[in-house]
Amino acid sequence: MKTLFYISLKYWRKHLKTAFALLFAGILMNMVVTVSLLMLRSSFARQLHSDYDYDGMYELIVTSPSQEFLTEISGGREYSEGHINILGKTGTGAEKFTCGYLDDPAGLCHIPMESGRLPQSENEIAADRYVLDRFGWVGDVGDTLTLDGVSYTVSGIIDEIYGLYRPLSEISSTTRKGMTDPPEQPLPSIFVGKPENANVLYEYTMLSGIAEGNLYGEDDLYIKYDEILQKYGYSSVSIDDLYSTSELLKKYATQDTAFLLCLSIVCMVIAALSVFSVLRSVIAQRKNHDRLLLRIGLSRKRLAAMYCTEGLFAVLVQLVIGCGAGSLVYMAIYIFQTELMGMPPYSGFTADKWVTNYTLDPFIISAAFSVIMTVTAFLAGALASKLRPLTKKRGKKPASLFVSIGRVFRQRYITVVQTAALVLICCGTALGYMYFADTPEKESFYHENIIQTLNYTPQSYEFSTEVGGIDLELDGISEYYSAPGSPTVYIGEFPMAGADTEYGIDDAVADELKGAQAFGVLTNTFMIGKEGYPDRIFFGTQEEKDYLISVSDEKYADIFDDGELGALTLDKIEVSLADSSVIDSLDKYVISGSIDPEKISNGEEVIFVCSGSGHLSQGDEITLCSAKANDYGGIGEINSGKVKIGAVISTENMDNVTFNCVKNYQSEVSYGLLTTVSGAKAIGLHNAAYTNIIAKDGIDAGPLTGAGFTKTGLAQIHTAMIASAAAKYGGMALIIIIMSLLGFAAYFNGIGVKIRQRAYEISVLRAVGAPISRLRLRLLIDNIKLPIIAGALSVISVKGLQMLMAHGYYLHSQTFDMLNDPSTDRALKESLRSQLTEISDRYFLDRVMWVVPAERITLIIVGIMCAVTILLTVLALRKFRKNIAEDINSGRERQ
Amino acid sequence: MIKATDLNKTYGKGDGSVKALKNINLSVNDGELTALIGKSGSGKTTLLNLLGGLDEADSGSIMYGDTDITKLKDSPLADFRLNNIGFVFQFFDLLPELTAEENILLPAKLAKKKAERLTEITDRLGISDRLRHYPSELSGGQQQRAAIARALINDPDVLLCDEPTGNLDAKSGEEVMRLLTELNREYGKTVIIVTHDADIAAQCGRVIEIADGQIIKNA
Repeated sequence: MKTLFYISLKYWRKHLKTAFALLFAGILMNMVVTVSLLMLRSSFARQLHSDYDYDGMYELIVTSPSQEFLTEISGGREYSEGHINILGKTGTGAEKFTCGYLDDPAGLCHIPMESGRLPQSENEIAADRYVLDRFGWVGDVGDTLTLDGVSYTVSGIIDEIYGLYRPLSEISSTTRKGMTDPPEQPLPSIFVGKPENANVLYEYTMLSGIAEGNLYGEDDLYIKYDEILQKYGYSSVSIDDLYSTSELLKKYATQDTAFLLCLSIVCMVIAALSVFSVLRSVIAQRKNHDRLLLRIGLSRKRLAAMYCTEGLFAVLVQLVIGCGAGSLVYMAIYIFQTELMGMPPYSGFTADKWVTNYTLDPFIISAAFSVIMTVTAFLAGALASKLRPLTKKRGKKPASLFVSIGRVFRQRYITVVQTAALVLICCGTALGYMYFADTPEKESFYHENIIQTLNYTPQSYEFSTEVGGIDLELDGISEYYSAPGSPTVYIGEFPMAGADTEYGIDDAVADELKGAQAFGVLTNTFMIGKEGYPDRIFFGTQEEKDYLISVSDEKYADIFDDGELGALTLDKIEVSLADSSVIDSLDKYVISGSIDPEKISNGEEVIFVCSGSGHLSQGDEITLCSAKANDYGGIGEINSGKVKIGAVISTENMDNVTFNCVKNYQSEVSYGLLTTVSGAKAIGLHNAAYTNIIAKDGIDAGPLTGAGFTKTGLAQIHTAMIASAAAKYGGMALIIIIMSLLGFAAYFNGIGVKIRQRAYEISVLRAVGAPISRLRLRLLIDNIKLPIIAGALSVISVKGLQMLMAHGYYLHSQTFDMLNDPSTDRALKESLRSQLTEISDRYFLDRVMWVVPAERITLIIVGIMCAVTILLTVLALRKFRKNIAEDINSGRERQ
Repeated sequence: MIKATDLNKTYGKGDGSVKALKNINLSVNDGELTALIGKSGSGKTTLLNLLGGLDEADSGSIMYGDTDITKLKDSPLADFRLNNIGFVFQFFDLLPELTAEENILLPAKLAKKKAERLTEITDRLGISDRLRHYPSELSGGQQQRAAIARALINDPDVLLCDEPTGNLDAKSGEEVMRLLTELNREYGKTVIIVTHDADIAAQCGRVIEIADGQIIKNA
């Protein structure tokens, strides 16, 4: 046996390139299968745990559960128990937020994150956007936030949806009423990394996986749980939701597994074809060796044992290297998903029995595929070597040069393998693109109109860079800050300022912001009626007036009789606010008068902004007023001041940024007044503040702290776009890329093998006078045909599949219409319902992927393949040296 | 006239390198029938390959009239070979995917020439009735004759033959040698034959003997 091993080793050491070509496809296949199935496990675990109360796994967070409760709720089942330590309460303004120490972020993976992750160390903090806004924090993940004098790094922003889905962890209202000191919320709104010696005020227990959801159809268990929870004062479980979502999860898990298995089988076929094509020439080459070995006395049995050992060794090498490389690739994807994309850390390397029971084992499947692929390829290779070569046809006339050289280069087996690999790659990639280019949601649209269905365009996930009328991208703005505007309340059409605003900045702060423009708008303003002005305030009905009088402060009790407002008409006018940097840039838009910044700042003058012509003119004097509501919603205060229209500016031909700074964008009318915050305050207008800031370059936002601003940065939008694209296409796209690489490898390996196997013929042709450039051109023509043929076949296949699906949609639509027909009787409806399910299942209609156009992607793939084919053909021919004689001799040996 | 000057060729590098040719200087006149003889590994095939441009010399020049083929790039060299040199190899080296006729016509088609002499050549070589056959369907002698026909189809001035009878039985070998001498005599072709067979060398007008990469006899 030692000798046989030595012979094998000698052979393969001499043919290292061939050995690599044989193992490469298998290694790549194992890698693809391992990555795919690990990702499926990871995805399943994430789905199972992420929406923990609604999907499969059932988790419960309770306050200091009694042993009695734990015993009863577990019912002897396995569950894990963790503690979440809650610091206590902290707050800002009138609102209080619960802040919790987090000593085990992995236990709270189900908390959805808008960006970043939960805290992992003492100086980190995560909270939802609303809470951060309330703290007046303007920044991004990684910036600092000071809370009660302690500085934290914001490690993540919790998705606001988190606040909406905590029903299981809430104590029922009935129980809460009976508690002397009920906790504000069962889980905190803010999480900080737990310090070493934290003084824990609350402790919650998290019971993970106390049941396996409805994956196994254990409805009764939930009814039992519901009873126990209610008994101990916790809110009830919605069994319907649990059931439907779990069923959906189960279905998708099965479909995803089926899909990945199909792709893996495609991989296996490509790998087997690739191995077969290389093996054919190896077997042909080794026939002479075998004959020699048999002649010198080796038995056929021992020869077979030698080949079996080689095959076993090939499987082991493929498996170890392939699975190892696959695991490494998966780890890289996992790190990318969790660290960069902030996805909850659910690894595919899990021992969670609910995940392992429901998904295929990557390594076992890899091993099975590897064995099947190797055995099939070896058997096919051995069989092919026993076939007699086909009888060559004799033409009447000698073939042309083009045909002759074509015949010399022709290698049917490899060409078939290459074409098959290419068709599979094209179809696989097109299907993969269709699968991930769309959501799996079922909409009635697809079932109602078959024509629309086939003209369907995949959803595009474009992020808008437009904020408040300004397109950050097009207008060259890198940062946009906005704070809540001054609230305005109306009685009829009469505007009043609501509560005093806490947000926004004045001119002093705006001046500190170098390179920024600040602006805002006041909608709580009006003016004493002016003759010819078309926009009167309508006070509403007498009943509304009576109501206004009754809730207004006493001094305004006779306001509609002979008092201040009763004797006057009032006109609508809104006032825009813009800081000096904006005002100073308006001279070129002045159509009458002139802008005097000083008079504007001290409230003597305002600017009239219109789209060309308006109802006020330069020099007009108006009485500008603003009212403030009292606590009852009536008039609490009216301020007024006489101002002159110092200048009229036109918004025509105004650039978009300036236009958005000066226009009354909250109003439908195309005119209004413009002043600064100082000017508005001098007039006595309530709640004057700049609530919008734009900057072409990044600004130091320090002065904005506490002013309620939220930042929208162009860079952040771009990052979000990339993150979104990565989240959507990242993981599975990578699998498709790896799979395509496998096919490509098989195909491109074929190019190399083809040229290597025709080295002798190429050398003879060169010896008789054919320059290499001419042979290269001929080979290029031969090789380039394959991607084109494969592309055409793929388009036909995908289109055929789509037509089949379209037929399914059509059938579904017909049945659906019949079901909705009022004249259909109940018995028939029952039958139609089951038919609908049957059609849907048979044609996979719960995926809308079938209607995503795939022509473009196929063309792109064909284009890439053509380009790489040219490159590889050229590279493969570079090995032909000037030494033609040596090439002929080597070729003869191979022959 | 073919003139080789200071030809050197070494195979391999370092300690394992073999100096196949050492400062070879050689002239072959037009219309000469020359035999290159020597023992196995003496360098005769290497010299023939260099003369035919199938291999690259480390140094030295090979002049065909005014053309130094060592200075030619791949395409011009291929073109030169196509029109001026015919090769006959020991193992025939016919392309198995083509019929005898297609193999013979290949150089003519590459040179875009009309194969006007096909019938004349094949008749002369006695393979007219075997043209539609594939190489695997021909005997060794027939294959070698087809290879000679391929070498002659573009009417080259020089025929380089590397042990043309080495793979043939005695009768076929004699027949091939007869053909080659006739071609030299009747058509004035310059023929250089590599051989280690003294009988064949005796049929040639000139014999050059090589040993250890050097010409030791030039008569």
